[in-house]
Amino acid sequence: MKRALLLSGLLLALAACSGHTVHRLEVDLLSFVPPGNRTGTLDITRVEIRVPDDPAGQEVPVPGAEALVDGRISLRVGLTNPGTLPANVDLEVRMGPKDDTDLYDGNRDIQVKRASIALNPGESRPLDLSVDLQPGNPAYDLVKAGSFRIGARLSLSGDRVQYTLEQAEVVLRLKLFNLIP
Amino acid sequence: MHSFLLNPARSPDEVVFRVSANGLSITDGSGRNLIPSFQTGASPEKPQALIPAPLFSIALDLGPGTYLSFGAFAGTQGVRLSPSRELAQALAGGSLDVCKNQDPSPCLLEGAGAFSAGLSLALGFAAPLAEVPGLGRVYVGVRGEGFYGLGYAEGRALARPTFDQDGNLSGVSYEYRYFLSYPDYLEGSFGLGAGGMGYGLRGDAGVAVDGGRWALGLGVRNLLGFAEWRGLEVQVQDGTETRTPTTKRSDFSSPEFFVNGAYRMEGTDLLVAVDARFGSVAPAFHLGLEYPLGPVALRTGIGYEGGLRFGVGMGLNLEALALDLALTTHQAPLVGGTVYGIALAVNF
Repeated sequence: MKRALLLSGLLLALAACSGHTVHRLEVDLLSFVPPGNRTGTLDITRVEIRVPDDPAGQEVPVPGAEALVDGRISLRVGLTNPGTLPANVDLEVRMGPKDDTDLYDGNRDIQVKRASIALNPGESRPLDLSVDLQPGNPAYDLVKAGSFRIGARLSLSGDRVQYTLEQAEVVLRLKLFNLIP
Repeated sequence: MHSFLLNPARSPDEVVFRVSANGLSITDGSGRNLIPSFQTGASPEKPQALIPAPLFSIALDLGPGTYLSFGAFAGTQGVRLSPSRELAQALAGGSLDVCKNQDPSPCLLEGAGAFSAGLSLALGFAAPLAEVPGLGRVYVGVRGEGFYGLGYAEGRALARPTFDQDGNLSGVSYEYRYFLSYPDYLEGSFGLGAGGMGYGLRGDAGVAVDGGRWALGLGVRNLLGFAEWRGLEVQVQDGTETRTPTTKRSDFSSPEFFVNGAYRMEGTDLLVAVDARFGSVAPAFHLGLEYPLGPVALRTGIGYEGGLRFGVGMGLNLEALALDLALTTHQAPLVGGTVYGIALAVNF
């Protein structure tokens, strides 16, 4: 009976759609970060930050994930080196299953992508990181499991850097018609 | 062959759900809001004696004005998807603030539907009464239809957002109930514990006046009726399932009224026709024109039936075959915009 109910719900969700309709789920992860935590400074007293603070990251449930076609994760951090020495900044995105309690311990979680940038003293530049989720990618399999956790870590090698989180977004494209048996 | 309708419904290339800590929006990919709301048919809350029209039927002529018809039916009694006022406001504005005022949230999406299938037997009788001076000939007709039920399913689900202590969206809570009924002897096949039975009977009546160049008809379906389904009611709330053997009954009277009229204009063969429907179903109104050209009839019309409709068409009436073809438009549910359709009817 549950199957029949799921099918009924699916039919309602698909009302007025057709086989070519793509359902796009956009999750604005940045909005889940309190505004006061979106800007700050990394220095020798604090060489890394995690977004969100919780090592378990942010859980993202995906209804109908079996119908996942592809997706994209986008991050953008505005950086300024106010110091007198060059600075290197690393940005990495990590993902894990929904019951993972620490995305940064290497236990069942994965590093999805890493990007780096070098900043000269007084230089300001954004650091962009974009990940395409395609079949065959371990991150794609995590999303397709129906619920996943995601987090990002910004770390400094150098003297000092100011950061502003400007974008953190997950976009998933689903073809819910594929759920019809 | 009766008739069929082909509606190549307009569907969006994309449906975009955008979720943030403070908002949820559903758009068609071009930024236009989609409000999940539509209804078709009658109310899906309880059974109806007014069953769907048979898919296939066999009619026997029993004498002047009398017929017996036997057929199998299967179809939806009604389907409804409806957001609460607060949810509609939140989706239109893109902010869930209005949903956080109470616990549980007043933002609610309700989906409900009912489906029935069975065998029907109808007996109809129509006869002319005396000519009424200055008015015309008056006709009356009555029709009774009973059914034996092969299956009835009725369901209703509610979904509402949940929020954490900081007011951030944390998930969606669901509750639902459904009722199932089918004949006892099918329990071995389905094994859902919903074996029971279903039956119903209803009466329709109508009167028509033929005034020569004009005609007027009044009709009522399900003037008196009764339907009963015995089966199983299942309610699931907060993950707890309750199963209760239940008997569901229709109202004794849930009439659906029809008014229709036609007038053939003097000096020309142009025919003007109107009809209206109201009562236990959503109101509908149609106005049409027909102009005959030999065996061919040209038609056009407008109407209101869950939105404005417009159609143009033609008919071909030969002795052994009648063919009607129409191009129609109506408003698409959910996504809005105009749907273009083709309606075709063939009679031998």
